[in-house]
Amino acid sequence: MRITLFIPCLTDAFTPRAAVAIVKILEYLGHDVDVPATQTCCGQPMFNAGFHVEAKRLVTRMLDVFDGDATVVTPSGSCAALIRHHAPTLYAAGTPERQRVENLGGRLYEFVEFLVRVERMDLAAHDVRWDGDVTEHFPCHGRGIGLGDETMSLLRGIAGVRLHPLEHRDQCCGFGGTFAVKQPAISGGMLREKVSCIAATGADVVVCNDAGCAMNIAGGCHRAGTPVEVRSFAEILAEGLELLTREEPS
Amino acid sequence: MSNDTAPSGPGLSRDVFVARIRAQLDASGPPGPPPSDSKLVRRVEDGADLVAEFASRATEAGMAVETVSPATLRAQLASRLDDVKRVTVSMSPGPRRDAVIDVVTTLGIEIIDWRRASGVLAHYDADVGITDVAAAVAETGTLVLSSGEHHSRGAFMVPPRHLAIVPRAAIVADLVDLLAAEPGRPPHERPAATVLVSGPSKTADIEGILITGVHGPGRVEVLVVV
Amino acid sequence: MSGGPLDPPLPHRIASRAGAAGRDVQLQQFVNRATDIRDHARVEALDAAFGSRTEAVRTLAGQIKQHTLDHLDHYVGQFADAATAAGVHVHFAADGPAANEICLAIARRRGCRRCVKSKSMVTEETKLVPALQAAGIEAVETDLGEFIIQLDDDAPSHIVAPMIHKDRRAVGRAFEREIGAPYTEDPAELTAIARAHMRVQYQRADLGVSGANFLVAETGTVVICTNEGNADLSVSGPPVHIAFVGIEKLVPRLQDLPVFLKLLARSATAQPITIYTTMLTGPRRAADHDGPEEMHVILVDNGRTRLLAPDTRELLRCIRCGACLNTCPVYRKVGGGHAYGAVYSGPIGATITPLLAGLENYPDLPHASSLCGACFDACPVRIDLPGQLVRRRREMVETRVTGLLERSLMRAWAWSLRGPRRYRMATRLQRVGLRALGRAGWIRRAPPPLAGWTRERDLPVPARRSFHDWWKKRERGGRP
Ligand code: SF4
Repeated sequence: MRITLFIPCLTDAFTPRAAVAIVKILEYLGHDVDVPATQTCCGQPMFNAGFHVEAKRLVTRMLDVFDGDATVVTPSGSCAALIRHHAPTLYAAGTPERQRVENLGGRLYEFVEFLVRVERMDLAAHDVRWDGDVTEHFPCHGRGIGLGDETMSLLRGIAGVRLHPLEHRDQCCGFGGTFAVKQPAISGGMLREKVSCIAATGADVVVCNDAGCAMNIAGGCHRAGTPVEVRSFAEILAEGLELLTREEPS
Repeated sequence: MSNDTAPSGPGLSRDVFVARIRAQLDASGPPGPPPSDSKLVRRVEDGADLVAEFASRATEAGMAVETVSPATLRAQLASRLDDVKRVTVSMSPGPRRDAVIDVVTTLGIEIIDWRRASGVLAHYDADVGITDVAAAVAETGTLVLSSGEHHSRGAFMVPPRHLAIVPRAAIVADLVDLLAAEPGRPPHERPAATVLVSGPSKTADIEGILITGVHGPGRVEVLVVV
Repeated sequence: MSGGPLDPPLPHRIASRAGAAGRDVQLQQFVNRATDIRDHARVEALDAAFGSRTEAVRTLAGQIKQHTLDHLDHYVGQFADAATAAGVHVHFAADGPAANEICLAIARRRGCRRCVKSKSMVTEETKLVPALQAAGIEAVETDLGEFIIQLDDDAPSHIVAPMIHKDRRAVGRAFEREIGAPYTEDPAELTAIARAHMRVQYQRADLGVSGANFLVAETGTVVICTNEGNADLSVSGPPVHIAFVGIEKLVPRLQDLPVFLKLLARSATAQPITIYTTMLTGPRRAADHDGPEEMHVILVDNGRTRLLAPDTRELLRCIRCGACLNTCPVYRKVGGGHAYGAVYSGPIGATITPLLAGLENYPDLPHASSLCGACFDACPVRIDLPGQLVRRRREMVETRVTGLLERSLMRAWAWSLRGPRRYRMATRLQRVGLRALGRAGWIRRAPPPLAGWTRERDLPVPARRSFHDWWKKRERGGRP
């Protein structure tokens, strides 16, 4: 299958390894991966902050960059949710743009969602092993695209993974984009609770598939002196398939 | 009185009030029927064992439920009114009420005549309020009590104990059945008050800890007559 | 007039109180635990009752309410006709003061001196109790939680559990101080004290005031849901009953009620149905021996017609179940409702307060959310609360309540994203800048606008090479 990748800004700059992992896994699965060089940002930060004129311009750019009928995969559930659910509201019903954005929403998948719903990947059919103690945080925007415990199930399918359930796994980590900067006290309170739940699991790695949440949780763990590494599921899987060399928790 | 078109004191007239609302709506006219799906909402089917369902739901809700036959009703009643001094009775006239009154008087218990008192005050002196029901709902173990000539609003709310007699035929399956009944009945022909009682009075206001009997009865006993 | 946590000086800043609550760790933990228990119980109760149908049931409930609101002019009229036919006096109040004035006029005409009142959010909006007291009418809150709030001269902090921020010791102290009861911390004993005290109030009262959870247009019926039974005792004893009801409480028919009764109790307190569901269709009938001689319904607008605008209409579907408060991590972290500085708190409060009282007066509220979506998932009538919060943010940008600095920053950021070259340049600048600030991969203190971030957590520096740079290099080098 021809797959176009959309790698949003935070992943691009802060967690590029997660995107590299996705490229390698998709190619391992036999797909033809393309990354349009003209892509930038879907406009989510502007949309969420209420700057809808600016957001609309960026979404319209997206429509050109990802024009066509290729399946689009992205590591970010929140960007997927934006295109699928929120971006259409920026255009009047019946306009060509509205149709194009709905079309894009229909063929755009978050990576884990792609593995489960499109690829229907059966880990038992692959030689995958990853030894370690892992817990998983559920990024809120999984909610927006109807994900539940898919990542947990996939992790359970990897030999060697010792999965420790995270209390309040689906409670927000306090990221929320500009929220983390505008309401630091509240956001920090949410983060501290998340970090203490993670610490209580005894895991060495917390799996988190959203770059923003991953930065937030990593920063919270680092500030608290909690020695836990944050990884995306794609990284774990790519390491387990020996497509990436394992980064040992430091 | 204040519901005609002229404003009454500080209020708006109905016309002005409704016009303010209409100004925010699209062209309105009489609406079509609202969306509804009673099958989706229903939890207990009509064919279910309604007595058993009612009894277990009512028990879960904290009521003490006993199934009795018409023959054992008197004995059951008597055993429950052992140390009682005063009761109020709020029931439709008929053999069942006669039986209750007979049992109570035989036991030497005083029956407070709530009809002579003003409002619900009479019930504040009673130890137990004995009532029949207008209906009962199996789904939620609910007793349905309606006000009327023979039915007080106080009997099941004011005394510390409420004892209800529920004939099997009064039990409907689901709230859907209860509230679907008699849609066409004009408002003034409906009971002024219909109360769905689904357990003893409860509060969790203090640290979320459940306490019964905060304002209404702390004990609700139900005799289902089959 | 300002004073009290729900009536703060304006503009109100949630952060000021959030900071205080953060320091008052005990309160925050207390509220956190209480709401967490409620939240889990809700999920279990709905799942047990409806399983995989839950979504469809919530959707239906939302649709019925939306239909009612779409035709609210019709249903208000139908309700008024039916209630009048049942002998109710229906009044129409544009705002809070008018509603209170209508109530006071009735009380004056009837010579009422003592009022027992059951829980009602609308009367919190209209500040009825102070108005009654100012008119020389004694007014007692009969809901246990509200009663304790009243004794403490405090304010409710949750729409279902008003004293969720208080523990048993606070209750013991209030009873000891205000009604002379011997101090105890035992919840059962405390409840018994309240019961005894309240029974005297019920018997003395000559005016009963209530709210309502639903109004049935078809039959003119007022529906009140309580667990304590205080509404029944408050309105069946006194000769006059006055119900304050917001116009959004309408449902078309009796047969539309079950879905709401089933959802409300489960969403609010994880019960199959509230203990008492009281349906009142008029005052006592000629043949009745008890019940009020007069029954009044005051239909209250108080800003609701403004919310009826198409973009915000869904907010009026709210059945005040409190589920969105319980599930909201922000509500939990700020120690409950007082931080919101208004009658309605949590996600629903954060969206409607700025609409009712002005964005410029509550500029923090639309931003006091990570948009995590937990509230949308919890809401039994499927109000898109995060979507509404984003709309408030948009309105803040459009009306320039959002400051110039923030607008300029966001627009500059957006500009930098409008072409690949600008984007690469900005990414590179950001990488160089942040890496210069960092030590061993982390930034402990960043300058504005990132200062808020590093107040609470460290900031990782960008990776040495961005993904797009990696990809470009790989493409140039050809695939292995
Ligand atoms: S907005 Fe929804 S969840 Fe929140 S109180 Fe209203 S009905 Fe309940």
